[in-house]
Amino acid sequence: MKPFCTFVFLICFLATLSAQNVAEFARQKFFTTTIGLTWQTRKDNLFSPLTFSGYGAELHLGSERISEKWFKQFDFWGSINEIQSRVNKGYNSVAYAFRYGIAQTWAKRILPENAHFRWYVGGSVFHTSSMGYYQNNVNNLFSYNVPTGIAASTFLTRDMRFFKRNWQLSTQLSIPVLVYNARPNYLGFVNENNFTKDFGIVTINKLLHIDWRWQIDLPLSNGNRLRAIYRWDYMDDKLSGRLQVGTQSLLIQSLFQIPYKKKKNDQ
Amino acid sequence: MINNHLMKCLLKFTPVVVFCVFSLSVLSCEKALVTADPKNTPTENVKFFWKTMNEKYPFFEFKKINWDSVGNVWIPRVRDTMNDAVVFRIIDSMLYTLRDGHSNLYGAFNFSRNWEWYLNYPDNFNSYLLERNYLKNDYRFTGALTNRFLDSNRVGYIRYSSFSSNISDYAIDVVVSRFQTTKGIIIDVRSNGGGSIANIDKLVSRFIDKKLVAWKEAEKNGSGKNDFSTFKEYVIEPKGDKKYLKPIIILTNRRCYSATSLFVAAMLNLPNVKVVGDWTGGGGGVPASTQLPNGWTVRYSSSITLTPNGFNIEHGTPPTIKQDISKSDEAAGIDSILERALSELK
Repeated sequence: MKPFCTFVFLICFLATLSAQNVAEFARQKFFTTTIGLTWQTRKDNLFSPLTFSGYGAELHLGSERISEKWFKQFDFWGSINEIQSRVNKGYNSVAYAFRYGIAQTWAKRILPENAHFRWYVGGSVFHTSSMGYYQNNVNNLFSYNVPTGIAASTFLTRDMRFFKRNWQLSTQLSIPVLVYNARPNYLGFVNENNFTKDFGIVTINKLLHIDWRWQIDLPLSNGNRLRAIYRWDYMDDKLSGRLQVGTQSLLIQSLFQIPYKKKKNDQ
Repeated sequence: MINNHLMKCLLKFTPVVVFCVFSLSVLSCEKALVTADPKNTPTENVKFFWKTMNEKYPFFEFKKINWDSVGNVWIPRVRDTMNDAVVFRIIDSMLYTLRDGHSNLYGAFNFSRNWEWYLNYPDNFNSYLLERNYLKNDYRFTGALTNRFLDSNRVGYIRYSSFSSNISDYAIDVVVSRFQTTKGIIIDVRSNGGGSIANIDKLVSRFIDKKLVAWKEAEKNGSGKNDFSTFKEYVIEPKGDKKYLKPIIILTNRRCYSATSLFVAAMLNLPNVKVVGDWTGGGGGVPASTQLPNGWTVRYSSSITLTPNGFNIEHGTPPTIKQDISKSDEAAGIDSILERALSELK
């Protein structure tokens, strides 16, 4: 898996640098590949009172479309971390954390008269999961949540000139508002007889999830881009027990331009 | 020169910079958002342990244990100057009062246990004697199942020593097919300490021709002493092309624990099944676990299991025919429990 992902990322990265199609900056569609380092802090009271944390890897695949009116993004990502508690290191304190997510975001530009920023506001549909494998436990080894729902999203971007180059600084924030979610039961077990019984519809009071990204783009002369992302993702799930997961990621993204079909109402 | 240029840029984009600095400072406050770990002191560890068991252990009432009293005896004795070995011993002593093989403390240097469920009883199983005088050389290992014909091919004998050893569909089908011509079979699960419930399904499914309500189970679902889920029936479906519906005798001793006790309880629902030997050791609660603030792991029973007619198997399942291996029989090379089973199948 790892060699395959590396290969795909390298191909896309090289394609980004070598492609020749120069397009207009404000109306573009990209295929994106992302790789990076992530640091996760995880605490699941159903499994341990201890906070576990550790480094891992994060990968994204997706697409992104930006025009003067719309910001649309599809993001499919996953991460794996080896996490360890701060006490009793070396004995029964290593766990593994896996996360994945899939999201489609639509955001419409507001305040178009503002010349300094392009600000897009909208929503997204998403499915994500944060899982932990607590290998020191007996039977109740598998921690998880599986939120699926809709989120409020915003994307703010600004062009900059810096060190004699054009850059684009942007930030993206997403907060779920209505979520269909499940957690293990009181004892930390999956409900084997009726898994769906553990599901419930929750909102921010039971599931606070903030996915915040800061990114800086270097547009290349061929129309593609290289992007550095700092992602901060915090989840506080109180559906059963309490799960808190904080993730900080440093990511490098390669945006490979896809030919854009112009529509009549596009500007 | 570069510095001047940088300063100009920073001033030009002051709102952006302020926003960035503010955001990054907010974003770095993960430690403030994630609730702090409990204090890792001997007192807090013992208190955390007591509270966890108080909220999650299901058998206080059944075993008539006053857990408040256990806490009142031990918690005041804890001092924060105590070393790990002493703290371990205190928690071990508290756990010991539960008389539960599924409730243990795992530290880096030891794990606590209460094995009274078999230590105070006759062993009733001698593998040396069984192999030399009964199995001899004429037996098969079919996956996890040791098997051979006994009593001039009139009886099939199956030895299953651990429910942690997975039984394949192929293996159980082969064994059941092999013994189709016998008058009855003996399933020897003595000293089988348990394992996976999935293996109970595999084994039992070949001895039934319709759905079997094997047992019913309720698990703790809240911190109150009587917070339990409603009892759910555990149903086993018949499987396999060949079934064995003739007389079956199961051999048991006190070392039959956990999944083995469940297997025996499930099979006793069948009219053609008898159990010969001693009570099983029990262990009806599914073990779950958590950690203490110092990283030690606590395992505890988390559910109650009853037979369909309401018998709690935490302290074991009684045999249909009580039989021990006497010292004199053992000295003479006789497995009295196996002999009794053979005579029942005459």
